[in-house]
Formats: sequence, C-alpha cells, structure tokens
Amino acid sequence: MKTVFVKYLSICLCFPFHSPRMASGSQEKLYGPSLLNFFIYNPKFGPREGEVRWLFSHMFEGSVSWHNSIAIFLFPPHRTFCPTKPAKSLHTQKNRQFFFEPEEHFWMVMVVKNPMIERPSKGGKPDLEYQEEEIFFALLHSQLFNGRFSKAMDEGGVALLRERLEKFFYRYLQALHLGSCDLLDVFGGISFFPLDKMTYLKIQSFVNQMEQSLNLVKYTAFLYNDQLIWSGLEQDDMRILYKYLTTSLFPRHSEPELAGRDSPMRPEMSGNLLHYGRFLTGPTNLKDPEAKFRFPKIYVNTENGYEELHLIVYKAMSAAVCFMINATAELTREFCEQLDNLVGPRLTLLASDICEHHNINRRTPGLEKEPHFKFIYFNHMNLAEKSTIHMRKTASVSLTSVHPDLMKILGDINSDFSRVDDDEEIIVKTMTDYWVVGKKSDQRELYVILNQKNANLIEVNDLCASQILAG
Amino acid sequence: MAADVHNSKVNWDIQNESLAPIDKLRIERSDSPTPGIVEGTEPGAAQEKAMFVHTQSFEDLTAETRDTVDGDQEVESCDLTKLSNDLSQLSTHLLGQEEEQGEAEEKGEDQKVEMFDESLASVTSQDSSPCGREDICDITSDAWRNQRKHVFVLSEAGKPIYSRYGTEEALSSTMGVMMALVSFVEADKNMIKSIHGDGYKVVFLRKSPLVLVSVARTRQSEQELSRELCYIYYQIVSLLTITQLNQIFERKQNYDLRRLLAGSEHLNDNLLKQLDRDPGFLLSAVTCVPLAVSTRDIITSSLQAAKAKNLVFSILLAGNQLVSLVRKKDQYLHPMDLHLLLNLVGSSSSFREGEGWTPICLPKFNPSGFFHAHISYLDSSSDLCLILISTSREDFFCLSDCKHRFLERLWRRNAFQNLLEALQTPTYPVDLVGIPELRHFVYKSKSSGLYTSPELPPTYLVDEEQERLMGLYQYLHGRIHNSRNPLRYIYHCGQRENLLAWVTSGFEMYLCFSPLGTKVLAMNTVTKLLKWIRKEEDRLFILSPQTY
Amino acid sequence: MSGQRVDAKVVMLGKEYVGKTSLVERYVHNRFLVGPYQNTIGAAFVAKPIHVGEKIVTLGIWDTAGSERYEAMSRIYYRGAKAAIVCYDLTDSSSFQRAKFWVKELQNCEEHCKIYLCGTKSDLVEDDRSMRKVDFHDVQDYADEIKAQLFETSSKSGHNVDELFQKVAEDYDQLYSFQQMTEEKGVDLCQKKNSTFYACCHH
Repeated sequence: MKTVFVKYLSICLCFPFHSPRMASGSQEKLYGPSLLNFFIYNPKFGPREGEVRWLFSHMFEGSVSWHNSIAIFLFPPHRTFCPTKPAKSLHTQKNRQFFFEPEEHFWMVMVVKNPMIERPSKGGKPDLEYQEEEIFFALLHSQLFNGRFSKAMDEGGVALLRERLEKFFYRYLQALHLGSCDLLDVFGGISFFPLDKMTYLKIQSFVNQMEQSLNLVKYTAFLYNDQLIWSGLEQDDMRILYKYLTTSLFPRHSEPELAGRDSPMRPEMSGNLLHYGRFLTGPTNLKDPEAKFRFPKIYVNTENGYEELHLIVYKAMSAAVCFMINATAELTREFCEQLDNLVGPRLTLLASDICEHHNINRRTPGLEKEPHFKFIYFNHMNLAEKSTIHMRKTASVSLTSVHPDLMKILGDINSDFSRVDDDEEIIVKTMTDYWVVGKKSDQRELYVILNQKNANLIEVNDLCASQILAG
Repeated sequence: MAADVHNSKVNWDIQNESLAPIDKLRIERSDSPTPGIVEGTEPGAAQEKAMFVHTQSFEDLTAETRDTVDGDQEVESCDLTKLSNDLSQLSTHLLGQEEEQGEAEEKGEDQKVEMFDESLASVTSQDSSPCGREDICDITSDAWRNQRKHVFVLSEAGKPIYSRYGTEEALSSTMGVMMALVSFVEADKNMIKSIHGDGYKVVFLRKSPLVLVSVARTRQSEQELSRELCYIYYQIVSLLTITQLNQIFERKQNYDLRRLLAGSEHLNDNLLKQLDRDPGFLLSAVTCVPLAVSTRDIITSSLQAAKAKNLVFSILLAGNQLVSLVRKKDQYLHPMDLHLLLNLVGSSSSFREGEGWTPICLPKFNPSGFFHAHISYLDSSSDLCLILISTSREDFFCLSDCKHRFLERLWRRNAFQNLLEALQTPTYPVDLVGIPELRHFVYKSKSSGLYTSPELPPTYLVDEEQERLMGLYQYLHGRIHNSRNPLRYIYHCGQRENLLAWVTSGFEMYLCFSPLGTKVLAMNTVTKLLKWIRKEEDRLFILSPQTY
Repeated sequence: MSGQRVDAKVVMLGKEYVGKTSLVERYVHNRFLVGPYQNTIGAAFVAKPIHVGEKIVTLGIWDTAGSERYEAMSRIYYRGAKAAIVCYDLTDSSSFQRAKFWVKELQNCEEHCKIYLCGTKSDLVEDDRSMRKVDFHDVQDYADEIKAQLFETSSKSGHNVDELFQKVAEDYDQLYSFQQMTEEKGVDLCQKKNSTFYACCHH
C-alpha cells in the first residue's frame, strides 16, 4: 500500500555566507533558510466557521501560527489583476510562502524562513537582519502528480488522501535540506555518466538480457555513481525518478554501503557471497522468512493518462538498476530470488568493469590539474546537466568549489534568462573580480565562472568560446 | 572602495553635515580617463563641492529595512481578537467567492464584476472631476487589468488615497483586501513585501501611516518597484509634510486623505510616467542643458547676485533639464527633492499664469517642514522656469524682486538671448560621438550627481520602445546595484540590442548597441566615449557649482 | 516688467474648480484655456495695470488654490487685501456654501477688505437653465446683507469679467485716492519693515 508520491517538489535556494558588508563579522551568527510550515490545501475543503482544515500540514517550529499562511485565501483578489495566473509566492520580511497548484484546486503551501544574520547589538537584544534576496525558489510542474490527489479522493475520500499525504510528506519533508539547494535544483536535470562506447554497449546488452529473462519488467533504468547511463522511461518521468533516487533513496542507503565497501561480508545478510547485489526497495533480506515483497508504486505518463508501476531498485556497488513492473502483477518471493540470482552477479561484474574504465579515463594527463574556469551546463532538450562546480551534491550537502555569492549570481542570471524566450548572453564582473558568463542558446544554458582578475571582456569571450568548442 | 560605493547608511542630518566628497585639489583633469578613475576626477565631475547630497541606489530601501525591524521589535503583540475578527471577515468575504469558484472559475469573476459595478455606478453618478480616461477607469475592463503598472496608495484604515488607473471609490474593496493582507502579516510581527505570480509582481511598501502597492508586469525587480513607490510616498509628503500626515491620522484614523490631496493626482500620474521614461529618476541624477561655459557662468553669477536673506536654492530649469543651480553655503539639495520640484513644475500649467507661490516640503532635506517656493517662467514662450526656494512664507515679493534682478542682469549681459538660442538644441544626436552601432547611452558622474544622455534614436521614439529601452536600463541598474550582490560590469547580448553597464567609484554608464555591435566594439567604445565626454564636459555638465 | 509696483492687493477666494484661475486668465491674458482641469498649486500672483479715468491703478491679483490643503496658508494671501473676489460655481450649490465660509473669514480677519461675490460659469446656466443650482436673488439678498457687490461672469465668453475688475479698481480708486495723491511712489514691497503697504492695512 505504500504509494510513493514521487517528489516532484523540487526546491532550490541558496544563500551566501559572506555578503560584502559582513566581511568582518566574526561575532555575527548566520542562520540559513529553513522550512517552517508545509501545507496542502484544497479550497473546497477550506475553512469552516473560522477553522482551517488542511489536507496535510506540518509545522517545524511550533511558534508559527497557521494564519501565517493566510495568503492562500487571497488568490481570488489577486485574480483581480490577473484572472488567469494566481500568485506563486508571497514575500515578507521574515519568511516566504510558496504556492504551487500541482492539480486543479489542490494547493501546496510552503513557508520558508528567510536566512538571517544575527549580530550582537548594544542593547543586548540581538539585532536580526533578514536577508530576503537570498532565497530563490523553483517549484516545477510534475506530470507525475497529475490526477494523483483527485484519484485518491475518488478511491477513498479525504481520509484516504490525508493518510497518503501524511505518509509521504512526513518523510519527504524531514529529508528536505533547503540550505543546500542551488542552481542544479532549479534545473532538476539529470547527470549522465560519461562512458566509452564498449562499456556502454555492455550495459545495453545487460539491460536487454534482463528484460528478456524477467519478462514482467516493463521499463529499466541503469545508473552508476548516482549518474544515469540508460533509461527506458519517458524523459520527464525519468527526471522525477532520478530526483527521487539521488536525493532520497540512495542517500538513505549510502551509509551501510560505505561501511562495507571493501568487504563482501555483510553480516546481516550472510549467505550470498557471490555478489554485492541487494534490493534498495522491497525486501532487505531475502533469507528472512518474514520478508515482505512489497515495492513502492509509482505513476508514469502514457499517451492516454498514466500507468501504475512497481519500482524495484537493485544495487551492486556503485551500479544501480531500476526495474519497473506493471502494478497489476504480483511480485512473489520466487520472483525476487530469481532476480537476485540473475542480476546480482552480473551487475557486480559490470560495476567493477565500469569502475575500472572510469579510473583509467580519470588518469589521463591534463585533466588532473585544476582548470582556471568552472562551469555548469544544462540542456533543456535532454535534461542533461554537467557541473564542475559541484564536488559533491546530495540532498543534504552541496559542496561547491566556488563562493556562495557566485552561486547566487548564477541563480540571478538564470532567472533573467527565464523571463525571455530569446537567446541571450550575459557577462558580468563581480565586486570580487570574478567573471561570470551565462549563455542561453537553443535550449541549452551554460554558466562559466572565471577567476581572471585582469582579463577583459574580449579575453573572457574568447575563453568561453574555446570552452564551448571543447565541450 | 568597492564596499564604500554600496554603503547603505543614510545621513538624514543634512544641515549639519555635508555628504559631499572632500574638496580635492585638482591640478589638472586627466585627458584619458582610465577605468580605475577615482570619484571626483571622472568626466563631468564638479570642480568645487557638488551641489547635491550624495546618494546611493536604494538608500531609502536599505535604510528602511533596519528601521522597521527595530520598530517591529518594540511593538508588542497586537490585539488578537481584532485580528481574528478581521480574519473571519476576510474569509467570509473570500469564501463566498471560493465556493462559487469550486464549480466554475468564471462565476467567481462574475460576482466580483457585479460588486464592482455597483460601486462604479455610485461613482459615475457623482460629478467627479473629469477623468479623461474612460475605458481604463472601468476596473472590470481588460484595459484596466492589462495596464503595465498599477499603483495604489491607501491609509492604514484601508481607505483609498490614490490609484493610478480607475477611480479610488471603485477600488475600495480591493484596497480593503490589500490592507487586510498587510495587517495579517503584521500581526505576526512581520512585514509583507511582495507577491509574485507568473509575469506580474505585487510589491508593498509600508510607510506609516500609508501603505503603497504596485502591481507591475514589467521586468523590474522588487527593489526597483519599491523605489518607485518611495517616490510616490515622498511626493505625498512634499505636499503635506510628514508631521501633518502623522497628525491627521493620529487624530482620525479613518480620515479620507483625498480631501487634502484633491487636485494632486496628476502629480502622481506624471511622476509615474517620468519614472518609466526618465533615466534621471533611475540614477538619482539630473541632466543639464548643453550650454557654452561662458553663458552658463553668466547665468550662474546672475543667480548668485540675485540673493536674499532667506533664499536657500535658486534653480533655473528648461523643461526637465537643469540650466543652473545656486545654493546657500553648506546646504545641499537631494536629487530626489529636485526630481519632486521638476515633477511639480512639469505637471502643472498653473505656473504659467503668473508668479507661483507655494509651500513645499523637500522630504529628503527635511520631511517635517515647509519651504516656500517662488516659481515662474522667464518668458511666456520658452520652457525656462525659475524656482526660488526660501524659508520664509512672507518672502514672496522679496523673491519676486530677486527674479527681476536676475532677469535684468541676464539682459544687460546679453545672456538671455544666448540661452534662448541654446535651447533651440537642448539635446544632441548620438552620432556626435562618432561610434557606429552605438544607439544610445546614459553616463552619470557620481560626484556631481549629473548625467548626460543623447536624444533617443528613431528606433526608440515610439512610446512602447522608449519604455522598453528604459526597462532594459532599469534591469541593468537593478542587477548592478543589487544590494546583496552588486556587480562591476554587465554585458548583455539580446536579440534586439546589446547592452553594457559599468559602475566604478567615479561614474556609471549604460550603453545600448545595435545587435551588430561586437564585444570588441563595446570595449573600444567605452574609452572613446569617456574621451568624448571629457572633451564636452564643460558644455554637458556644471563643473563649477556656486553658492550665494 | 510687471509686478514691482502694486496699488491694490486683490485676492481670489473660493472652492476648488469654481474657475478662479480661468477668471484671472480671461481678465489678464484675455484667453480661455480648454483642456483637462489643472488645479492651482499654492497661489499665483499677477499684476495688472488698469485705467480708472485718467489714472492707472495696478491691481496685484492673488489667485489662490481652492484645495483644502492650502487653507492654513490662505491668511497670508488675504492679509492686507483691499478687495476679495469670492467665487462660487453657479452650477454647484456646495461652492456657494464654501463662499459663505470665506466671507465669514474675511469679516473676522480683514474688515477693511471689500468683498465681491462672483458667480462663475454663467454660460453654462444660460445654455441650460436647469443647470443653475444657486439662485440669483438669494445671493443678491446675501450680498446686500454683507454689503458686497454681486457679479455673474463667464470666463468662457468673457461676459462681465472686465466689468468686475473695473469695478474693483474704481472702488479702490474712490476710497484711496486721497492716500494715493499724498504718496509720491508706489509701494516697495520688498522692504517690509518700512513698507507703507503694511502700514496702511493694519490700521
């Protein structure tokens, strides 16, 4: 019964730790943005006799009263100015409220506390300065959500919907780290694993074989190192699945894996010493007689509506494969054992193959030394993203090699781009003498950060041009 | 240096302290200005002390944030019962619509239309002063909804004070909802800033006892829109003073301020129009009539000579351009105050009738007191307008005499004729600079607070195109002066034009090239343009501002 | 150049939009501006020399703003005025109520100021009698009571405008001709301290 409302709420924000005017601030405390409240609301089940009935609500700080989110009532008046387009966000000095209507009449409201600086003041009362401009947000559309809320309503009324929302969002919100969101979250792209042709063919044939042997499997996706290599899903569905895998499912399982990386021994799962394969969804231990063979359900788009699928995620070392099976099929112990025996050894082998090739490639000279520029690339057509800015990016950690102020500028440029459809190019020089270049052309966006104090506009341009040619 | 430029501290105490840069010994003005140019030596920099208070972009906004946070903490928890009353009122008001809306969205709209129709009917039955904008007056029409930028002013009791389009009466329920929204958020010791939707922004500016709201479909940032609202706020203060404004609402919370502001709507209308078109408002600067230095010197010395005991500023304008300005020693005018004066003169024909005499508050100088301005045109056919500002309300005849002394001197020295001739060509074409593909530019010297800009090329002469170009400048300005993340330099390549913005400690410039302009050209243009401005600076700028 | 020598200070008073400025425009510049209504800001001053028999009397006319905003300032405009033209709109009864307010104000503060009641926009009333909201006889009675003169004018057609100001100048001349003759010069208004202008009006 565990329905996964695959998270689509892709949230992104970033904030600089050092703004120019607090350079000296050793006594200043900085608070990052944090999620205060989250509501799901349908005006049809709206306030009755002064009481607001949320379909789902979660408060992270008890002190925040619900009427903080009162703006939800105010959609109609704002339609005075724009009858067709409701508000998307409300900004106040202390927080921001974001509104998102994934489905007709269903509204999600998120209240986020603005980042702020606390500096000691003479009077003893801390002087709070709210840094409003720091948060930027993108709530994107989810095809995966379509019909979900209303379908649940049809099936079991408000009570069922509430139950499901409760189940999904409770965990989802706990795992949400607003402080580490940045431009990559705005794109919500997919990072592809760079691979030589031979290895790629190997993977393709692996996928084909698996789909043949396990004929229940409808779609397959293959990932390595949290990067996508092969997917049979539609792009938009894959994007959301990818987000779910990389920000939620994989991180949850990463710790035991890290602990046991170099030894095949997993004491809790003794028995199978032939491979490292294991289920990330479904049964944790096949040998356990009590094991339940339930997998999360996801919804993907089809030409006429959507279909419901079981999601099996199976992982060996750094390679992960997702099998999606029609939800009407019953998944038994036998099927899982068959899958484990079949996929486990081959995936283990494949994973070490990829690892080897990857390491060879990495050792090629020239790529070792630090380049004098860093970039983020995103292609709206195939959702491919690439970043040399991020050293590590998970839901909770965004470790970038550049100053957060620069990340904020990238975000600004991106929001400038999104306001017009035309191709544009923006080159800026920051107060700290970095050059930042943003280029939008033919559905692709490229952001380059150059650390060349004394370069002029033409040199910067040339550098970028050579980069684009190389890339 | 860099941090200096964007320092957000504002000094209100102008009388006692000068904000102008320290007198610099200027041995020679360098011939080829370099990028690292220092404030006070850039082309157009004043030789003596500047005549304006030094300003920072968004100074009001950054200063205000601090004020309100401080104030906010002092205010103890508000009356909760009142709030919950407000809330239930509001939700019943809205719920009615929402229930309908559940079935069909249009139905909710219809209902609103009806509601507004009633109030509209009551408006039209009154004989209000001619509106002259019938179709956009109807707030149910698409024409009204699709305006690029709406501006509303309301009192804390939710009473309408001003609306850019449509009559305030018809909007009273909309304004009531806006005020409810403001007070909801404030009940939580918070302050509402803006609402963002697809393609539009609603920005709130809280300036007790007023609330100002802008609903814009432009590309402008929240910061830029707040700055515009700030101008409207100061426009209102300049008519009433902050003291009077506060007193009125202390005495009677639901006072209808329109009684006192009657007839001033066109001041706000005109100001908003200027904000959309005049780069000076964006840059906190004014532009000068290009004038031979000898002619300007005669005018300035004549103004200097025509002094009086209580006279603080003598300002000679030609339309929206400055001819000369003489000030009392140690008194500086804020560019914003001068903009309000420009707006006062520009939006009223009343000063052509005779010699005008009016109390006026210059809010950036002192928001709580009135100056008295003698405003008159030098002759009936030209745009030359003289503003003499005095501290005494009894000074009319004295200033009238100053004006005549000034005029006599001009005649005696043949400067008047020269001035009139110069006014035949109050602008210059961009071709004069001699850079192909350069369509337009705006250059501001920071130390003098003056800017220069050529006339608009044919491409931008249509209203929409002019506002689009200004929109691009506004966008660059907003980005480069972003209070959190200021930039030095922006080069922007678009489909219809390429733009360059550059801010140093001495100047800021915004250049507009045709899409054929290359980056190499842009680079070379900057140097060439700075040289040209240096060459022309004594014609385009006032290099030696004077005191009495 | 006008404005330096003024014999008689004349102040225009009345509710906003009654047409004070149009009246002055018609009289001084002999024109009637059509276009959107522009309210007066503060006050406007014009000096107009006028023939009274052989002599020339210069009227210094203060056209004040009708807006409530400037009410507090109005005192400086009517102080020392020899004549006040209190205007009301013949098509707006509330403007006549406002006119009565100004009359009271003048009676209290400037007892030597002669009052002229002026009903404006008479052309509108002529075109359509139903437009008239202020009865002529009522005002005539009121005028008699306060010892004021009554005119009904049209700035659009120019009807009765010159007559009004001519009357103001003649009355002034009659009343002050003795003083006029004894004084060599007009009043230098800039030198406030020894100004005979102020001297004579405070008595």
